[in-house]
Amino acid sequence: MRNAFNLVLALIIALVVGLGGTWYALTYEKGVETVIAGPWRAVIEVGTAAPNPYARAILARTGAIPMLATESITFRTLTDSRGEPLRGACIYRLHGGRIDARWWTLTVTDDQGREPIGDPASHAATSIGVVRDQDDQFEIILSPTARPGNWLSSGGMANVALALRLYDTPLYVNGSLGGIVLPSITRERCS
Amino acid sequence: MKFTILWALGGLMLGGIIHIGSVLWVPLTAENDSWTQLAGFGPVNMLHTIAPASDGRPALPDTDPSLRYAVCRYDLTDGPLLIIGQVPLVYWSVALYDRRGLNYYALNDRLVAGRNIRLWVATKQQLLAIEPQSPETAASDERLLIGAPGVLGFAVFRVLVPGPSFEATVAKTFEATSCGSFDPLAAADLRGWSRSGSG
Repeated sequence: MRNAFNLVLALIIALVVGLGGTWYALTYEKGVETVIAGPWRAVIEVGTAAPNPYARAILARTGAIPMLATESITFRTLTDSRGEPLRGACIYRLHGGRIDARWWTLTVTDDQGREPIGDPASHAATSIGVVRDQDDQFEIILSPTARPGNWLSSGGMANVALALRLYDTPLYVNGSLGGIVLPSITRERCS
Repeated sequence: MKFTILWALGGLMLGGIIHIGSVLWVPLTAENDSWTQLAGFGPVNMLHTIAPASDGRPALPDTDPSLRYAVCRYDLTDGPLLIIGQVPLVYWSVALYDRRGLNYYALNDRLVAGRNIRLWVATKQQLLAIEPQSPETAASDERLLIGAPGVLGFAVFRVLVPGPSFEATVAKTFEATSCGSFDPLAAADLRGWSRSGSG
């Protein structure tokens, strides 16, 4: 009787630890090489020539087709620079400078990866289209309603996710990814 | 009590094994991996352009709305794959993936000398049949031979759209791109290839 109890206990622990650990690692992208820059996070492992089993499992589950890290790196965030969740009802100011890439794109989706309906130009900015000052610095306003200057729309979204994709970037090859500085995200106010 | 702790430790160890096993098992059973999703666009050895998201839900996960995509799943069973492509004057890339969605080769517009490419994707055995006939690259056409890790895989083409006026460039680029299976010995492309080598 005692042994039966112990066996059941051991099996429950094994299943919870084993399968729970797998679910946790794949859902929260653990066990893979990542780079963190302020609120931004990039999973580098999926773009390496020989990804580890965690990265392979993440790829298989999402069906994503990432480019090699030597070609493109995708940084994502669900929070502002203070770590507060990005909300569609708030106004944010993104401030950044030069990024070591041939070009980049900045895209707004909701936290499920859905693009907002409407003019595509209002939820995707590129380094080519962004207006900068004489010091090569730029500011982008993320807000639910249109604003003058560089503007990205978060209209109609409860929670916002940002993706910053760098293309044709030497950062991975020359090993300087760790020190990369990406745009800060400051909350101005919420309606 | 001591026994229970030992059983619990045993459970933890077994949990570790289950964890490792299940992580390795996921790619073998995934019903939603990239290959399966791309299968929805049409048959193998053909180029399929992917329309940008209209209802907010992108046709492929993790795609960039500032890029336009075309995909070509390949099956090298009946011969190597020949990709003929035109490189536009904006960012363009072609990336090759294996059946599991691992990117094993990539090329972008900056690495292409001319504006046209001919890219052969072949298994190791097929490469041996092609290679003796392949002379150096012609000046206007970039010709490349890529060894594929397996018989199945796919190519993904990406073109940047810096603004709405570039949609026409993208359409022209994809129209001029083909992706199909070829018997290398019968292919006119290779006959021309060996001629240009000897002459």
